[in-house]
Amino acid sequence: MEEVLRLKNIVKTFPGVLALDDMNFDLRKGEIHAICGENGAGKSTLMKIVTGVYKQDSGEILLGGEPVVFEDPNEAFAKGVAIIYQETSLFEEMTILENIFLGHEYVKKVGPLTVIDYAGMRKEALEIFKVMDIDLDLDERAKNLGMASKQMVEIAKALSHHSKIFILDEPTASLTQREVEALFNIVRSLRDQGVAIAYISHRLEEIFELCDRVTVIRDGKYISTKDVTTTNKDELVADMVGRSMDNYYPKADVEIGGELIRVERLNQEGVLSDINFHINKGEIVGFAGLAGAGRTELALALCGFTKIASGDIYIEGRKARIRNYRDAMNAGFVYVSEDRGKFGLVIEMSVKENITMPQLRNVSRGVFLDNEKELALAGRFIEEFDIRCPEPDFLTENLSGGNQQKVSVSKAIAIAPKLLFLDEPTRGVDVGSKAEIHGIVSALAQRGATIFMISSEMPELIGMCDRIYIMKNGTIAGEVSRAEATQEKILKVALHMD
Amino acid sequence: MADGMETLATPKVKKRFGVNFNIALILILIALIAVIGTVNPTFVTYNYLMAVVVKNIMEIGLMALPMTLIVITAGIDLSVGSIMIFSAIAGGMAAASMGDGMGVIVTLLVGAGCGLVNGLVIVKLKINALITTLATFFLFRGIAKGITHGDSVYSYDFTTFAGNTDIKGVPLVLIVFIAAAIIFTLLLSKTGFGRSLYALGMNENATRYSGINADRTLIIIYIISGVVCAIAAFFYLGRFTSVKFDVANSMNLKVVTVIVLGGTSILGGVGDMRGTIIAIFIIAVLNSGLTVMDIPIDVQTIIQGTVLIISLIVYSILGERAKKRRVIEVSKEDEPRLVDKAPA
Repeated sequence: MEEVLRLKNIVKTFPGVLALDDMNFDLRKGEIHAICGENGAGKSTLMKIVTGVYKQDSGEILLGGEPVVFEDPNEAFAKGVAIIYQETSLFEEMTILENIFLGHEYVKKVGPLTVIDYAGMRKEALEIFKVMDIDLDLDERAKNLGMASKQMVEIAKALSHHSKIFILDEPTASLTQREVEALFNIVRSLRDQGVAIAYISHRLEEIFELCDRVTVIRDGKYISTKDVTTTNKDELVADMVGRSMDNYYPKADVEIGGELIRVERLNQEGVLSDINFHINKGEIVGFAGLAGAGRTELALALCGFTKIASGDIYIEGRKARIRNYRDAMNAGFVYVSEDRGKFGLVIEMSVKENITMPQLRNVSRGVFLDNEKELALAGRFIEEFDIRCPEPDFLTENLSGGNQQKVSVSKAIAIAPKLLFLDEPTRGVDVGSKAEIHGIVSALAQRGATIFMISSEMPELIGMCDRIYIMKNGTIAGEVSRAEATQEKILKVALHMD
Repeated sequence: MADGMETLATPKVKKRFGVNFNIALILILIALIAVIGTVNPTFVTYNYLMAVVVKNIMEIGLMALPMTLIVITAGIDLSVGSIMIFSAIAGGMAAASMGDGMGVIVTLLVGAGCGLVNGLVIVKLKINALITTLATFFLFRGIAKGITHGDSVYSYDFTTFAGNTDIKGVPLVLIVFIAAAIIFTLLLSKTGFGRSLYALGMNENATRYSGINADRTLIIIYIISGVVCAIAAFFYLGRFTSVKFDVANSMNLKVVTVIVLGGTSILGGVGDMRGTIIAIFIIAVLNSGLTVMDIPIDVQTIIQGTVLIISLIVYSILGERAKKRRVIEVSKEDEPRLVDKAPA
């Protein structure tokens, strides 16, 4: 079969991170080629390079055998490479027709005026719909469409540009089973008409149902490409996780005390269902799962940021009512967000101001802030966690990602929480800071803190946690102890395989 | 977003140039007084300064203090003038039928109530502050018109006293203003409450995730704004002896002008109370000074608009410079440290 796209020896680094290392990938006309790997394996980075969002440091992109350099996404799009994201980018207030032809509207001359040729566009759109074998009202506004229909409009939009290469990024993540089938039919009919499709997913069942070939990547490296007929799920999982525990995760043994929190039958409409778990004092309990499994949502619900529909939360055996974050903080819960720029820190404020923010009352004398107390508190954590800033009044935005993360964790730890929620505490930080943050978490546990840790990096969870709950589709699908935890075991539950 | 760059850049401007900005504003103020005083020496006499220059700006000045708090949280209150008139009218009617005590109480309650309405709509219904207070700007006026049937309401003993009393030659309103200015300056710069206002203006999400009760904080500052409008109402009613629902229509915009001239960013997170206070007096001097110099009223408006635009350009230029300087500092201070301490 004719090769339409080839990536050769692609290397991409971000400050402190090697995102793609000698990556290879090829795509043929008329095939559906799956790309799979764990969260953070480099799937999105790879696709962003193909679509011109990022530029590789070295390596080549061949399009139909010709080397190409994409300066920006528009250029890739113009050359026939279209990407359909999980989140669609339609203009909500425009109709389907207007969205499909946005930016390349058909025009016609009416006397001296150039006007939009709605009739022509309508005819073309109906042609495209026929090819896709779908039936949508062209005059419906995008805001009235479900997620599945929106994706179909995105596909139609790409077809209207005569795109020859489609990249589908986790297209089924938010679809129902019936919608998934409809989407698969469209994807198959596109393939049959010679379109090349790269299909990113970590739902292994889908890969076997839909795809022709599958490429596995791991830690930014190319691992394997196989025909789906010659491989099986176990082989793919082994390829996806097959890395040794090359980092040392210090986890000191600490005395595990009595029960700190117990959650029973917790539900949140459409997000969390029938959640049951407990955490004992002094434990580090990990929450594993794929993106969208409901881990962050569970933490946010327990901390009162979102409302729960039903279920009971017991803190030290007593039933607790948590209506907002204040209640949660009074109960001793503190949440450290995975998105430190958006939720964790006020980056335009200084390190000192960020660290003291959750406890302004404690650093005040009477009604007035006491700079001495603020400096003492901030200074303690700057020293303890080795936050590299010239002075406590240094602006947080001028720190490196790892040091910002240390500030974000410091401000939570500074109020001595009973239960610390760490959401992806090492995401987007460099290797050095990562090890330091692991050290901090471990030291906390040694001092008797209890930690609810969400992470998508399995070695991190396996290395640090006493127990790991595995979440899938908004519920807890399994639990493994430290002794029995392996990446295969966790991934199998997370992917719901036996 | 283009605005994103603005918000990132501006805090440093104020932090690093804050003092300079305020010194520049003071120099402008002195220069204005000097020029106007040279042209017409009556302007710089104590009596004129007190009786005309200061007294004419004090209601605006009072309302600008809480407005600074609001704008720092990236909010705005366009209903201030309407709250002042509404509370003056409601209080005046209460005083006429139930006595001065009730007049004072009703004025303050109406002011606080209007602020509460603003705060609740903005925070609980999550409607943009600009839209909300534009709506209540009309709403409060409308109610004021309705309860008076369009008639005037007259000053009563308490307001007449407030509006016309001098203590050893210093107008009472100026004493109240100075006290309020000190309280607001301390509140903003020295308390945890003030700190949380800046944080809200810079990153509301992160502020909420720090456990600060953002809803309550925001409602409180709109209530404070309403109460201060009510206090301004005493002086306004006393000074003019009567008010009608349709007076002081552009007062809200004058207050916003003062805030912006004082260096507070309309995008939130940046500004201080001292800048506002100096700006109040600059506007006061411009208002009365141009009249003293016999400059026609329409030319005065042009001059005031020009002054505002020039000040905004200056803020913007200094903001750019601060940004450039910051980049250099980072590469000088931060990088070598990181290299020094990198794990071997």
